[in-house]
Amino acid sequence: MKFIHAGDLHLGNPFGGLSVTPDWLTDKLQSATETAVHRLVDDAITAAVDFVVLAGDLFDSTTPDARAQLDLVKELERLATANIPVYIGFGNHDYVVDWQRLPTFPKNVTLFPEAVTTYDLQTQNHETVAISGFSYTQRHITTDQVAQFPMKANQADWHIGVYHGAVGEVGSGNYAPFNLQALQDKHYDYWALGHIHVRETLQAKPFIGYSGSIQGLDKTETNAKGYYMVESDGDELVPTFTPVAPITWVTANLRTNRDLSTVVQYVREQFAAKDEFELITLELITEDPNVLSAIVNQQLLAQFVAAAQPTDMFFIYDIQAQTQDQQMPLPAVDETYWSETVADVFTREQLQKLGLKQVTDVAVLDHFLNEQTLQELHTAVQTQLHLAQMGDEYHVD
Amino acid sequence: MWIKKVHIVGFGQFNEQTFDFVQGLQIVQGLNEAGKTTLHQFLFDMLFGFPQAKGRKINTYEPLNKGPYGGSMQFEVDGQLYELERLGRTQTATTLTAVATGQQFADPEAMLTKLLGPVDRDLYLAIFSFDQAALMNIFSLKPDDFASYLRTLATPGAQNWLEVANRWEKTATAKFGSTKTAHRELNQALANLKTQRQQLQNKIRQQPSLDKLQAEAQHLSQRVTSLQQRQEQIQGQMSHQQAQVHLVPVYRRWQQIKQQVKATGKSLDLTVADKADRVRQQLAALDEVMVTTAVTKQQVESATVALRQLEKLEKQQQTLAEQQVKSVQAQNELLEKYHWTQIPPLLTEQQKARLGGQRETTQANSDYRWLIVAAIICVVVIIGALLAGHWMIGMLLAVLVLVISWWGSRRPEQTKTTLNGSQDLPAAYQQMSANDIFAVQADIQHINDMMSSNNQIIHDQQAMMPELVKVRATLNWLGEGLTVDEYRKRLADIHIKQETMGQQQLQRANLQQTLQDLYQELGVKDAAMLRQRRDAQRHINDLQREANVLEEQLKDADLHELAAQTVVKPDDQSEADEQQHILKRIQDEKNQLNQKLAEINVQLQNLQTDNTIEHQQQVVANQVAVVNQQLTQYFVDRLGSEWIRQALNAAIADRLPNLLTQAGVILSQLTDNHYQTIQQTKTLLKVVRDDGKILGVNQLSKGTAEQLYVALRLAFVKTVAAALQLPLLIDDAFVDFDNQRRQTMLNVLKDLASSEQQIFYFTAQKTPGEQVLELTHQQ
Repeated sequence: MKFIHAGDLHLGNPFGGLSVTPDWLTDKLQSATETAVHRLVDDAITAAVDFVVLAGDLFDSTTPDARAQLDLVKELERLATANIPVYIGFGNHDYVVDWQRLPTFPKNVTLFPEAVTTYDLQTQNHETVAISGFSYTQRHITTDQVAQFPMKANQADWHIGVYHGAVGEVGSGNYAPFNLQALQDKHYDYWALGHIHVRETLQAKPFIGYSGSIQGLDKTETNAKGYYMVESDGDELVPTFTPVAPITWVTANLRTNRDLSTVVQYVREQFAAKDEFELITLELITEDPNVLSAIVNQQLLAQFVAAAQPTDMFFIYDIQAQTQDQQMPLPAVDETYWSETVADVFTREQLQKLGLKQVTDVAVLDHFLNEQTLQELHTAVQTQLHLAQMGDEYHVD
Repeated sequence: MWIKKVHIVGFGQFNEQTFDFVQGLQIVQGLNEAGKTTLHQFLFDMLFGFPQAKGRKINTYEPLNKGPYGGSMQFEVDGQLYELERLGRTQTATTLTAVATGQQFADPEAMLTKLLGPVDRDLYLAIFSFDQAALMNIFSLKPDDFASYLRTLATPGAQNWLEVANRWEKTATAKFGSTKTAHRELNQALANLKTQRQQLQNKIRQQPSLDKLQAEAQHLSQRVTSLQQRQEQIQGQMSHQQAQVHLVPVYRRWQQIKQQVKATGKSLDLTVADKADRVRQQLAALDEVMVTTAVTKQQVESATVALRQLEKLEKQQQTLAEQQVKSVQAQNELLEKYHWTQIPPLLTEQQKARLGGQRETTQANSDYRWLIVAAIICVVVIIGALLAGHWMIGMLLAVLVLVISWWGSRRPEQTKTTLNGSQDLPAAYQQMSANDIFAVQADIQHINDMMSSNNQIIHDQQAMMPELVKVRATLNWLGEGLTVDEYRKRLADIHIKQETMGQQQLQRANLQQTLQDLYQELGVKDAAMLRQRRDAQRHINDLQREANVLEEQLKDADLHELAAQTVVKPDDQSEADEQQHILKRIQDEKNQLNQKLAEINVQLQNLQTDNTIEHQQQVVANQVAVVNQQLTQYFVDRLGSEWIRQALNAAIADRLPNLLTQAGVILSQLTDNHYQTIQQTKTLLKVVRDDGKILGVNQLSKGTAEQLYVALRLAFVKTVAAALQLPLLIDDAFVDFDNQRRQTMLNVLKDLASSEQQIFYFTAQKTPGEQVLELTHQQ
């Protein structure tokens, strides 16, 4: 018995965090998730899997782009042609507002309804598989969904749970909060989880875990992305990660003392040989003040963007300056004064006060009201303080 | 830290010169130009490195003799002696050696920082080094700035960082205005984002929704299908109706035929009919060979009688003729025998007597009788013929009779003649002997007898003649003038005929009977009627065949409907027209729907390939990234600025009370308790005078203000002394102080100086004390 566990396709979702994308890159980006799904389907057909499980967030919204829907339907039809059943639960992003308004899926597709439902199927080797799952019909599910899942079916050789959600406390979590123990207590052979974009194993045996997103769509979703090819091995279901994402987000550290005139050329040479396309945050370790300055004022990034070629297998979308001495203390006053004021400075209220209140764009607001963004801002300010400190050293009157 | 000794290789006016310094307060005294500032700068540069860039504002103290630049310094930290050497202004060779071990540190600067504390050049300048200018600077500041300057003093380096904070804030606010109408970078970016989102929304709005399209496509397909069905139905109906229209006459005809067939009732039994015909043909054939004779049996019987009579008569006549012939023969024999030409007459008795006598016979009477008979017969015949209407035949018969009668009358004449010739003894005898004559007489007699018999016969014959004629007449219907045999034959024929006829008639009667029976069976009277019936039957059969063909045609048709239609004849044409119209309408609608469907399919196709929305989404995402990036930079600037302020404020808030207490003590010392404490409001420093009056900084006299400044400085050094082991460099700062103040100042410095805190006090004035280093031009 063999199946594919994937989730969080977020079809039709743009790549976030790229301020400038040349046309050739835009084309690449737009086809990336589709390419990943296409590869998944290719693999499913080649491996002649018994079925495919998609654990939610196929689309980024409840009103996805028609092309994204048609593309998924096209891919599902390929699976239909190969007689591969597909089990889909909708997640918090693509929760079902109106079942009637879903695209017309081919016959091989089984959509989990709102209530936890179990479907049975027979594999090519005449093993019986029970698959239990549910779909979101609202953005948030705060109730205990696990309780709805039946205990492992006695008559089934394998029982698989399909669950889109996150570990959390019932009542406080918004995404079908569950605890690991509750999942374990169902004695399933495999829990195909969705929602968390980072591949994560909550329990190795029997497997409970996230396959992660199929294509990283912003800088937080770094490294290889794909799906789990799950195969039975004795009485176990063993997932093997298979990367299919054609574009990978990476952070690259590079140390150089090249000056501003040669640094672009040098860095580009370092990234010349890539198998899959990479979106790179470049952490440039340099002491060259001009380069550092060019990093801070975004000039260096602009140079990289200008130098980017359609034949490149990488694109540098962000450059961070790294000084050699990371442990450098903050200037002027004792560290305690800096650290004791952090909590007062890096707050949402402060951001609101400083201008965020003027911002109405939800995505931007979301970004800046995020705790992590505050953390990032903190780090960035620290870096800037260091740079200012260093800049002062180099300051020439 | 204790800087024990410096050796200047070359720096400004100094050249290969060594200075030793005491622990605690080291007063360096010298007139102007003696090198106080140079030494001050050398100490500073030894700690923080030589100035890297030359500039108009910076005195780099190049050695006046153009010799080697730099020097060395020995200092003690925590009881350890170190030697620091810096040689060369640019690309300075710096070495730091632990004197005790001789260990040279790989990274002298790092080690230096470790030993001295994290103080940079600016910080050092801000805290540990001040001069007259710094004091003077206080008064060039505005009163409000004074407070902030004081704050800067309380937090060394703060001034610079506050500037940085200001710069950042300025940079930030230049990018992001707080007013709605601001057109700064970030406002613009946000506006662009909004616009792009709007465009995305518009594009999404403009894009036909997939489910609607699919639903519509489905709906249209269904509609087309239903129209198709309707169309087919109508077409079916039409073709049905058309078929019906075609079938109606067929049906009618079929019905008609059926009725006709029905009306004819029982069909003709053809075997019987055939039989009847055969019989009739037999009859006809029989009739053909039918021997018919008009001769009645009676006729035949009478003819038979007549024939028998005729035969008898003929026989008699024959006999008579034979006798006649015999007699002629005998006569001729006799004539030959006697070479007579004619039979001599019998000798009359006289003659006989003479010779034996002759006898004479007359026959004259008979001549006339023949003619009379003939005439009578003629008359009878003529009359008969006339009576019978066959006068010609009668005439012929009459002529014949006359001829015959004439012929009959001639013979006796000859005889008479012969007889007449032997009258007198006929010549014939003349040559003959009497015996012979007598002998011959018998013969002659005989001949004569015969002759006479002949005559009798002839007579008889003549007598028989009428009877014969009569008999013949009787037989005339068999043929005239035929022989008996012929008659018999004919009669026999007739008889046979009659026999045959009889048989035939019997047969015929049988057939006739059979025929009648058959006819009866067939219900006809005669052949004609049968023929009629046959014709009728054939017609019926034809009809039946036609009916079969028609029935075949009607096989699939609804006969009831046809029957109904034959009753109610629909207005075919208008209905058909209407249906055509409907069909056309349906077809039109179907075409329209198909076109719509095609359009939708094209739209769906386009949707599948149309990535404008995704493109726009990416544009929006990019713009979000741009905004985030810019806003991040903005916030980094603003937050950095804020953080600097807050950190500085926190430091001030923390240190200021402590510092102010310390400074208060020093100020009290310096002012001889005239000013006792320093207080702090939110932003301002105030001093409390001995009379309890609280004065603002700007209300102080210049000297007192400078004392306050120094007090704050020294208090600060005291405060940070625990963390930083750096010598304090004071360069002629107290020139404006009066003697008492200066002495007090020196006392305070003495108090402050310790084994941990070295203080260099550079002054041009004579200062009492043991630790005074005199700088002279010579040195």
